[in-house]
Amino acid sequence: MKIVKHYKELTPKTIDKKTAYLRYRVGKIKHELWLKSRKSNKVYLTSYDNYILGKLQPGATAIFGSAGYFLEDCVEDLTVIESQEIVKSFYPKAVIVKDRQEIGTLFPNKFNNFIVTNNRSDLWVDTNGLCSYIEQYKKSMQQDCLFFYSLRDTQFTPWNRLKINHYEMFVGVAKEIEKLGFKCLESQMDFADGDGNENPDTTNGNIKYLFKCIK
Amino acid sequence: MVENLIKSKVILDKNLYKWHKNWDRLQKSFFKESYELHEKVKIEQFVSTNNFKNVFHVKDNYIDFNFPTVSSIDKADLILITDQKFSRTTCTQIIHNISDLLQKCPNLFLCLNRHYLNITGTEIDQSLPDDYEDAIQVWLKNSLNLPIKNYSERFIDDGQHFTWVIPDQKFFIQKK
Repeated sequence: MKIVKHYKELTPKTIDKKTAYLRYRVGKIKHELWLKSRKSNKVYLTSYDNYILGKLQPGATAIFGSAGYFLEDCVEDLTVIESQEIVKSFYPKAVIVKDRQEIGTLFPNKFNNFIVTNNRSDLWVDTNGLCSYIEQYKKSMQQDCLFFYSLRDTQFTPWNRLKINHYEMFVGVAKEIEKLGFKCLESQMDFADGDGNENPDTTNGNIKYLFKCIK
Repeated sequence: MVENLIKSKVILDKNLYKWHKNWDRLQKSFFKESYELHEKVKIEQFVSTNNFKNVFHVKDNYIDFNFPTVSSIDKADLILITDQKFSRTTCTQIIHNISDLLQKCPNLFLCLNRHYLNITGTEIDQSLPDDYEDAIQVWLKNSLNLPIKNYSERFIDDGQHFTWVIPDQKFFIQKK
């Protein structure tokens, strides 16, 4: 039998639609909010979504890689951008991009609000990697666009958690993002109390930023 | 935001994330070939080579290890910890928990998930090495003052090393 250390040593099964959907659902936990909301007279949200709704400014809003179609009843001019083709099968209005560069090409300087919430395809990079992604998102933002970005500290390229102050670490990340042409308006960083549970808000991420694009 | 929202909002306070009890088997269903995890085989070889016969396994995730386990810690000749929760208590509590377990059985194979350590962010030690994996080993050695053998692989985790099936930082700790 094959002994493996890494996914890359394995051959993924030919993916049929059902498997693709299953894999998508495993990775996109906020898809559950859409399943609950779509045939209901209620919209199910997390409190962080409600916070974002309260902050949105008028104009066009994009949400990328965050299963954001559950917000369609709450946001006037919403563009849902995803990277997995399977999304189109249950939410035909989604815009599917092969890579982040396409976002700026398809929607240059378009959005007044841009949301990325705990996007799995943004995980496992260091600060430079994260900044290279955000540079791509920025190409689709108008001047003064609000940029809501959240992540989990436990799914960042390994950093010395025993030696580096966690708050300083993620304040440092915000400062690097500011160098791309943003101003950090708000940030929230919450950590566990050590009772054995995960850090707070595994759904949205325990590190949350609100930036304004200053171009 | 929509001016007149037709639907009423329901704010969910619970985390949507659900822990899969057999993440290993779920992942296996995504790939063509049958395989075993290198880290699982490594632990099995460790148990076999050292002739442990009664392993008490502390887990939060089913892993189909190929060695005999016991349900009572009192009958164990080795304690194996793969439970992710173990890494999510404070560093101080982790050391307490290790010491407590070693009172019950002198042999402990500990798997820690490096991404969870110092989960509260409040236990910084500037005297530790800059290299994170070295720092983990030095922290354990300094805190326990016991012989420790490091069985961890060196790699930069990109989330595809099965760390959430078997935590990546592995140490054999013996109470003499």
